[in-house]
Amino acid sequence: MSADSAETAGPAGFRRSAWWRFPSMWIVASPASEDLFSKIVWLILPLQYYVLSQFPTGLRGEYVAVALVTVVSIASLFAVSLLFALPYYRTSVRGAQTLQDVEERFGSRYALAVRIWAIALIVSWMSVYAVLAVSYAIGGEKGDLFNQLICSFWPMNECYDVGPELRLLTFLGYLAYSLIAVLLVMAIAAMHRKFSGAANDTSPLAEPNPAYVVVTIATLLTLINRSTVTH
Amino acid sequence: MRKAMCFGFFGMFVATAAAYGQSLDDRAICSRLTRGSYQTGLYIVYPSGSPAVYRIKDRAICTDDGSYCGAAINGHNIYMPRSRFFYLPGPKQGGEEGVWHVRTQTKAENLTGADRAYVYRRPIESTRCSKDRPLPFFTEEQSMMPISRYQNHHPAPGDSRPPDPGMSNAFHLQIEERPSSCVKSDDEKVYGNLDKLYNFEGVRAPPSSWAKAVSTAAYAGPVQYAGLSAEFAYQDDDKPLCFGFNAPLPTVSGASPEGDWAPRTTLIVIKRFVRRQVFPDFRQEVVWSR
Repeated sequence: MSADSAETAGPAGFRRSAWWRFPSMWIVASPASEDLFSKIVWLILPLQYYVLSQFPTGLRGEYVAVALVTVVSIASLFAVSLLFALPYYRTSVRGAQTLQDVEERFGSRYALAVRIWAIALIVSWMSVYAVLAVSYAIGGEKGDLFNQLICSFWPMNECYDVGPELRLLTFLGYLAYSLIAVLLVMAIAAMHRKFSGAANDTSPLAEPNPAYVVVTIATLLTLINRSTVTH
Repeated sequence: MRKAMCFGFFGMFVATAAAYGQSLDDRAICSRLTRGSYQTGLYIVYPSGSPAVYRIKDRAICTDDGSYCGAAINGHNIYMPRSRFFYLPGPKQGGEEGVWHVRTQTKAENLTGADRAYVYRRPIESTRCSKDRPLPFFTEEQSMMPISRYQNHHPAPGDSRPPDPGMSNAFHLQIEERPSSCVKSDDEKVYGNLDKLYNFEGVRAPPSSWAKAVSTAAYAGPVQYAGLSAEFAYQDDDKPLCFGFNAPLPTVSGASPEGDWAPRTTLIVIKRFVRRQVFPDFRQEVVWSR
């Protein structure tokens, strides 16, 4: 049975969110949760400042510069959402009546797809910086945990670089962090659904594949973090 | 003793890691400079074939094979790209290791705006605090680092510093305070104000690109120096104390030591680490002649 096939529940034509998809709809399942997440997302500012100030030539003390980085990051994530939502033009939604209902409630399919992707990417972006912040906080003077782990097994000159470089090792490290962040969000959503007794949220469109979210976040993280370091 | 009639070309040997942080060339030169009753202080040494050798021939001290010739620093010093400084400290007081920090700041006739610093410690195979493990070191590329990296690692009291395993392990080293007890040379609990101890005087790192983009701070003008360097020297044997360090290098992005730069003065500050204490050992502004 395809993971995408859905029991019809809720409005006709809506599908249950597949457990393995990124839970964008869970985040906006109710006005209260949407309001909560829209406030939590502001944590990106102090989290991003903390992480970017941990690089040897990072933006320590440069608060306004970090705010600019945050704005550029969010704008980039939104731009990527616009791009990733393009295929949804062709996505069909079950039932003509339902399409009218969908369009009335959510606007066009494309706008809905952009919204679903933007939620996924922005919440994941905040989560990955939270994970990175914890990693640096625990790592202390020796740097982040991934770097310590790799360098303890394979000591190499790259371990003494001035900060993230545009190389495969950096990308792989950020891939690991992004995976942890995305899995964390999915686990929290799954636990909340289990303990609240709620069935999976329904969605008129398929939610993002977490693998795409992970790779996108890791790529942007590599580019943006690298740009903040003086080489 | 061979006078400074140094014909022939021997080329520079590739420095190899030696037991006490000196290259084979350095050890040969030190051996010559410390022969007999020698004068402590600062010397400049040139490879044979360098035009400077002919200008110092009256006071030159040359290695036995004629590969290198040098002279004590005086009021008229000649800068050559492949020259090297040598410092002969006073004798040790007790049985401590020889650890020195050397900082140079060079002004040039036609170049300012250093945005990098040459930060280097030679490969050392063993020290009293690391008997069986060679110390890591920066590559040549990593050694030419942004000034902010060096400065951020040596904060003023009360300021925090970012984690930097490179600076901690590949530049700084552990120093024996007593048998079986070591302290790290970048430990502010031991050595206090790291900013005053290590950082370049009158130098503020240029802002990052993002900071320049928002331009909220009144940043100081470009750095007035053309070359900045910081090195650690280490010696732990019974030989007379002597170590070499780099002659001035331009540390402005894009500039080359072989290019058209003309050093005018170099401030050299050498501090000696004796267990948990640091003593000023040498401070002089070397003036370069044309």
